[in-house]
Amino acid sequence: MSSAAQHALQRQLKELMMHPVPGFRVGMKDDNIFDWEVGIIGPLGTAYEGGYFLASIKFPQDFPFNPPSFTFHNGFYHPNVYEDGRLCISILHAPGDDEMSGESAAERWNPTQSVESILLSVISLLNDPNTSSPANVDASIQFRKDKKAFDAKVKELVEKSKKDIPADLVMPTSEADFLVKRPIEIEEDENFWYEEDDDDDDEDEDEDHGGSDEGSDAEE
Amino acid sequence: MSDNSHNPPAQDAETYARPTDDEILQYERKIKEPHTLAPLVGEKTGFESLQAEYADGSPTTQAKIALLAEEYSGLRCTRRDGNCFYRGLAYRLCELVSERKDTLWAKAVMQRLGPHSREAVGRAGYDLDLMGDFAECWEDAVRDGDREGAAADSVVCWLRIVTAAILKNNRDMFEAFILDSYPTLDLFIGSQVEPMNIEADQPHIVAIANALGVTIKIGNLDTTLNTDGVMNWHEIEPLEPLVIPDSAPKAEDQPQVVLLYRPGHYDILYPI
Repeated sequence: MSSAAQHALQRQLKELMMHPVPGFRVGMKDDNIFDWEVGIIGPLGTAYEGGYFLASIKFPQDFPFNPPSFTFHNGFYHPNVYEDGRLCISILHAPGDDEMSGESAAERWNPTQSVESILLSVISLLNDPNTSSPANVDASIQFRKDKKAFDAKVKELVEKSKKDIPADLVMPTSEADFLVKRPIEIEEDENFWYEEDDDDDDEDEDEDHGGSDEGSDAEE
Repeated sequence: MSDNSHNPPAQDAETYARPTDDEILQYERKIKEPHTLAPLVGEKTGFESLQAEYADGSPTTQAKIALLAEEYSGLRCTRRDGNCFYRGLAYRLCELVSERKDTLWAKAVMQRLGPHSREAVGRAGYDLDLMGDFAECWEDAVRDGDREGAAADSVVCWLRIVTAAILKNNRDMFEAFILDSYPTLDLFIGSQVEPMNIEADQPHIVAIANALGVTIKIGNLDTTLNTDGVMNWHEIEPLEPLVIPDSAPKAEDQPQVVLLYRPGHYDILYPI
């Protein structure tokens, strides 16, 4: 069972590193495929803008039959995050768990879900907290009744989180920046099409390498 | 998520003296334990244990079991975890293929179980890169005659995805059966097909029979009677039956899996 889980996770990690979900960086922690580190760029237009928030995802040995857990670090403040950092979101709950919550099975974890679907849910939750089933009741009440104080508290977090911004990461300042991640890929595609009739692959490959080398230099 | 009608106002949540989520979960697991520890698919047995189980049951049920004992050589019980339909179907199909290993028939069945399903799943919009692992478990098990492998959760999961794909690819046909109880077909799939441990019902069975080209015959062990006999059988035939290339269609070539249904559960039946 666990080798199937390993296989699935390796595949998903590779896919997410090649085609990142905008606003996220993922990687393994200590070479353990069941334990990932995530960096989340605070979405623009929210109180979290400008911050870089660290979290970890821990996967069970029987993934994808059971959901992973998602935990924010450094006292993340959000209506749907418990004080210990655990994210509370229906997609991370297995169907059958806690029938009282009023969540329908359609919103729960099932084996067709992926890490990508979790990351997309996280972004949606940062943009739009779900105050109807809060994990942090104080944060939820503050979010609804005193948005200014809520924002101020998050702003503190944002400031503290700036030390965690990776050296090679240029923080996006506009929606377009979130999407500019893939110009290299488009070039590659074009080359790919040209290559079909070409014999001199070398030239094209050199160009490609120019592009991807920049990327890897930056990462180091 | 947006449905807040079930949730008490936040400030009241703390004062409610209800068990914690963990306590509810633990209790649920405890009462389900006898079921969750049973083998995924048990040994083939006669009908004695079924007769004993219904010794105090209704005469109709007892008569039905007596009839089964005459017409069937035995049954194999599956674990009562809500996956029994898919598990029983997969196990029995794998067994049928291995009984006729290396025949044209087996080849045709495998073609239908493999590439045909993958195509449907891809067309329905699922990510085949992600789901391919599940498909591989199923295809490997059938090819190798590995019945235990065919009973695995990954195979159950794959058959659920195939079922969902057929529903999605034939919206017009299935929506009519579903919209009574669910606002959309996708919501039905999200809550009744994709999640593990949720049992299969009529639409699921029709869909998977169509996908795999398998006839699924189900005997209903309840207290209702059929008009022309004792046991009420439901036979679900695929819209496109199995085709064996270069061979005239014969009735005995149509793969058939027979299951015994009791409310909420399916076991495998073995024809004599």
